[in-house]
Parts: sequence; C-alpha cells; structure tokens
Amino acid sequence: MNIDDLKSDWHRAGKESHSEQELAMMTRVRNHPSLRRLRIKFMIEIAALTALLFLFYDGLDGAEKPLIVNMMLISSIILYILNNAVGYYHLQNPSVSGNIREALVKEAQTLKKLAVLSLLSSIAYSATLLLFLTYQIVFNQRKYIILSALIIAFLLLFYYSWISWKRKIAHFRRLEADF
Amino acid sequence: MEKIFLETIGEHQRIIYKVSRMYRNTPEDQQDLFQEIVYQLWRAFPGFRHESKITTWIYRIALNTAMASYRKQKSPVSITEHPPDLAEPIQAVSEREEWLFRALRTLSESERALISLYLEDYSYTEIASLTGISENYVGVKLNRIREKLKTLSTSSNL
Repeated sequence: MNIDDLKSDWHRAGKESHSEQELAMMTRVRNHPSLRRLRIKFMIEIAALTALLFLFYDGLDGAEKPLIVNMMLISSIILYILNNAVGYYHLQNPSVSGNIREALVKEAQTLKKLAVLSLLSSIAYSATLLLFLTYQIVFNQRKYIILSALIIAFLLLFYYSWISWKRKIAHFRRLEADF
Repeated sequence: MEKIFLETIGEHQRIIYKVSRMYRNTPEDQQDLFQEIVYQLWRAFPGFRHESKITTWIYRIALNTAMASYRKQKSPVSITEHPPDLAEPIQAVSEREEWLFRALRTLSESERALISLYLEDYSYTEIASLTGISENYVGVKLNRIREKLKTLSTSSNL
C-alpha cells in the first residue's frame, strides 16, 4: 500500500450533514456536551456555599466564635467559589491558539496552576470548616474518633484529587514529548 | 458575523468531521467532539485575521481542541474485521473509509495530527508551522507513520 492511495479516501471522507441551524445551536453553552452539565454543577455549588455563607453565623453559632475563625471560614468559602469560577472559565477557554506544540505546553502549565489552586482551596475550605465546627468543643473519645474519621476522609479526597490532576497533566506532557 | 461563521463552517464541516472521527472511538464521542470544535471555532472566530487560509485555521483549532479536551481512554479500537483490499476500486467507499479511520486511531495522537495534515495535502513547511516542530522532523515522523500504516494494511487484524 502506498500512503498516497489513502489521500483520495481522506478527501472523500465526511459529509456536510449539519445544517446551519444545527451548527448555530452548537455555538451555545446550553447545548454544549460537557459545559452545560458543569455549569449546572457549578451553580448548585455556588448556591449551597452562598447559603452556608448567609446561614452559618446564626445556624452554626458564629456569634460565639472569635472573629478570626469567622473570617477564615468566609475567606475559604470565597476562595473555593473563585476556584470553581477559574476552572469553569478554563474549560470554556482551553489553550487552542498558536501551534499544537505551544498549545500543549500552555495547557499543561495552566493545568498545573489550576491543580495547585484547586487543592489549596479545598484544603483551606475543609480545614477552616473543621476548625469552625470544632472550636470551643469539649472533646471526648467519641468526638476524637469522629474528627479523625473526617480528617482521614478529607485526606483521601485530596489524594485522589491530586492523582486525577497529575494524570491530566502527565497526559499533556506525554503529548508534548511525543511531538 | 454569525451568518458568515455558519456559512464558512457549514462549507468546511468535513474537516471537523474527519478530526472528530480520527480522535474519538464511538459515534457519541465523535459527535461531542464535533460540537466542542464548533464551539471553540465560534469563540475564536472574531480573532481570525485572514493571515492564513480558513481551512488551515479550522484545522489548527480543531486539532488543538481534539488534543486539549482530555478524557480517559474508553475501550480501545476494536480490531476484529478483515481489511478491505485497498487495491480494489471504490465499490465500497464507506468500508475503505471505515478502515482508514480505524487505522488512524491506532496511531498516537500526535501522529494523527501529522498524518491528517499530510493527507490534506499540506506541505512539510505548513505542517511544521502548524505543529511547531521542524520540517526535518516532520519528514522523519511521516516516514515512521507510513511504515506503521503499511504494516497495518498488510496485517489481517484491523
């Protein structure tokens, strides 16, 4: 087989199967295969965290805790929301400009920054939430066990999140090296 | 602007179809990637300055999007059917087309980008500029890809 024989097959391949109307629909986020789903998830998370921001002071006895603990919780919630927004923005605008190699390098660098921000915001949010909930609590053995279980669960979540980011970054590094 | 964009993409949608089919295994994933590419083209369209051919611009965005949209690999390419005899005339274009895309999906992602540009009749200089590697290296890589495809065409397991 000569590779050039494949050229005619390549040129013949495909069809103009989508109308202009269908193509127009594809330019909208609400019809996007993954962005629409992520936007809904993002909105639900923002609503839940905003509700927490408004309710924690009364509902979780914020008035009885020092100002610094309250401020730390508020800051970490805002950081978590910002991290979500940055992540969504990146998914909507991946690095597709420039040549392929440049785009891959840029994508890997951006993912690395996003991974650090995502982990930091998750750790800050979990740590301040635990601090807030356990502040001024008198611990007994049962409460120590619950706290330890929560800490282990959070650590496992961070670990799996880091592995998942690492896998994504490695994928782009591999592609880059492959060129 | 939307009207011009839709006319342009409508006219050249075969490129998006071919890139989607080359980079995804299942029809659902191919349709998702097609949509993702159209979305990214639409976002990038205001920045298109006609410094390159429109088809080159579409290829660049389409290939970048296909490679940038990371996803875990699902089932590997199914390798069960016998290859059609490529020396035969076209009576079964779809079968030959099917073979072509199956063969392309066995290549690495970077090799797919290079071979698609080559099959589209881009020169080594243009391929080098689109991919960011040297012309010499384009030649070396294309020779390797040729060998791989040759082996695939003679083997009976694709």
